[in-house]
Amino acid sequence: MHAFFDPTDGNAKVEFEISGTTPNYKKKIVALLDTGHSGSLSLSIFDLIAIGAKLSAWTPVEYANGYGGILYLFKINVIIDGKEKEVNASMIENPASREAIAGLELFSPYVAFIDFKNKLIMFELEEEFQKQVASSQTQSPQKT
Amino acid sequence: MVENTQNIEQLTELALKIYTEIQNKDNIEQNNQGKYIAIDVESKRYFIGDTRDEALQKAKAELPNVVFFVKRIGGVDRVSRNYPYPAYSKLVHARIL
Repeated sequence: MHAFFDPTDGNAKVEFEISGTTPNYKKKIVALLDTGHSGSLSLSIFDLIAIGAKLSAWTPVEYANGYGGILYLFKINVIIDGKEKEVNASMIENPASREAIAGLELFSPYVAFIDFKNKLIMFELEEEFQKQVASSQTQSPQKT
Repeated sequence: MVENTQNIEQLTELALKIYTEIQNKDNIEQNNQGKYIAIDVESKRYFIGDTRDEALQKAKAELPNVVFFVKRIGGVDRVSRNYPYPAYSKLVHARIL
């Protein structure tokens, strides 16, 4: 999975593909990685229309300004590293907003490394991470 | 009952009433705090999962064509500060339903 710090706004972003009911159509998405975002993914109205996302549910939420509201959830497929995963993405109702927001729930099988100093983000599957930790422990000499 | 609802706010009120009924009957909040519940407002059937997606996956496996009401058990989800406030929410709700 491609993840990076966007030089234009300094925010952490992730890149992946989404699909819906539109036949043979996958859309590449660059989403803001947001650790404070509940749920897996939020998409603009335009992205949802483009892929032909189907309405699956609605949910009550509280916005950051304290107001209550309702989010509409749409069943979509997210393709990360060639693997397809079904998620229920919420619709960003404000048509002025085009940027997708990805919450941590979307990346649940992955372990994330964020290097703020060098502006690097890496995602690894947990078993890969465990292997790397194990091999680095066997290679590096123990300090006494 | 569902046919008499005029908009999403009324439908949500009805769904929250059903949630309270389920809580009074099965006391779901005792062992499922922080999990998610997906409710079919028409049949009042419900499905519980650790995440929103898991609850909906279970629900859709049984009732694939239903649009569910989904809620965090024992609370309400808070949306991130990065989420743009829906300035036209009423208009969009009316148009969709």
